[in-house]
Amino acid sequence: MWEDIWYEINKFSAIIFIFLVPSCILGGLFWRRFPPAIKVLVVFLWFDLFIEIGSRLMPYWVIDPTNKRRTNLPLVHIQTLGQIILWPLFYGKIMQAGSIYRKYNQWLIGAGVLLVMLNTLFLQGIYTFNSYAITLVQVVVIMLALDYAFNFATEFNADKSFIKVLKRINAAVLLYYCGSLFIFMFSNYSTHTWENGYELLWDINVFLNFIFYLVVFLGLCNLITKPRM
Amino acid sequence: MQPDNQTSDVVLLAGIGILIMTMLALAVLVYSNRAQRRLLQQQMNTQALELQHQQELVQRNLLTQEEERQRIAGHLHDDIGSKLGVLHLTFHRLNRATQHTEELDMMATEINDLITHTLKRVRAISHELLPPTLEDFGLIEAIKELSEQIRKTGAVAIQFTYNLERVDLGAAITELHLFRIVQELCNNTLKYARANLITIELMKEGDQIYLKYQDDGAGFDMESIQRNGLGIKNLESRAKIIGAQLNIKTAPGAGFEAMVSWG
Repeated sequence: MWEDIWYEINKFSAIIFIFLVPSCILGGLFWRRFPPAIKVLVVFLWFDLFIEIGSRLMPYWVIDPTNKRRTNLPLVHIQTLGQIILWPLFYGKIMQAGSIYRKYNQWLIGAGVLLVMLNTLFLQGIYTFNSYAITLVQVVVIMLALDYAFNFATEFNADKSFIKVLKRINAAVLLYYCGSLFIFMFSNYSTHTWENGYELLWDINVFLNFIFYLVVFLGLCNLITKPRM
Repeated sequence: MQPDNQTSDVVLLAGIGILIMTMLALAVLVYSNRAQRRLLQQQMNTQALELQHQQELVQRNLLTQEEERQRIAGHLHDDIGSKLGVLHLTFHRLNRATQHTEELDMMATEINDLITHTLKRVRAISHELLPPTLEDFGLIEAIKELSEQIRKTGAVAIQFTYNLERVDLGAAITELHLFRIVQELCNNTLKYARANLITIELMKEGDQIYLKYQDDGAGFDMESIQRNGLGIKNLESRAKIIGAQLNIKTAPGAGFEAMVSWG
């Protein structure tokens, strides 16, 4: 058991915990001081931490009945669902009142959840990599991030340092989801066929994820050290 | 495990895709950041222009106000005041030429009192609009007179010190605006500050001239006043008109200090 945990810790992918865990702790400690959008982000971080830990532990208990191999793919389906709910919620809170996404936010979440569930039920089952759903979610998140990036009228008189933090987080989101779009899109091809190539793609994903958590962590630190929020 | 050709093509394709998407994301971020900065700069420029326009309007308004005050004061003093004086004299002549009865004497006293009172009021209003002391003897004498008037009310003690002469102050318009600033500050102190002492200094140090006004009153939160108060804006505009700088230091419970400096 301890050997397994030590093995997981020594993997390259464990670097994401360097900033994910402190961000989750900061989110909990300073929860009351954060504006609503950041609270959604903190929930996302907790959710991600749960998924990341779960994805490392699950293969020790769960076996895919179709090929008798250890798997953590059911968690990927849950993660996709979480992302299609939390990212539109986050952007719904930071976008201007006139934004089309803010207006149809609930519809976007509802339709996204429905499509992700339909994909799991009828197209890519719980033990299959849900590349269609993940790609869809990533495209949605990229569109939200692009809309925010080009939302030039963003609160001219709003709290400048808060807007700065949001812009950095948005940049990290855009970079991560654009970069990893093709990784998830081609996951079903690379999995089980060429392990080295598969590992390489996942290491790129881990690196992008690491950058994302680093920016989020710095953003949270900025908000905490700011005198008034 | 060795890759077959098709799998390695897929991974290569994914790699190229990752690279292109990352570059695209970076390009979008750089472009949007630049465009946003440009827009913010434009908005700031527009805001600065609006502010400048507003300041010019306030200054124009103050100048018009002063011209109007001078005109009304002139009319009151030279026209209505002198005519009332003539009326007073004529009435006395009429009074002397008329046979006196008890009823007529009563009416004459009433008319005399009324004319005297009206003359005093006209003179007072005319002086309030434009103190003749300021026009005739300059700012130093006008502040002395104002200090004396405030001292007489017994509401607050007042000290005025100076080390310059009228000639150092330059144009009459400078004296007028400085006097208005002192007047406004004194009014504020009397109305809101609950102060025991007002100190006014009009000093020359080298080429620099400054007017320093202090009171030991309640003070106030400068930020809230700057957001809502027209008084401070008027003071700033008057200082600007004469090419001076206005610095105000105050805080709740810490008194008030205003420094107008130029030269």
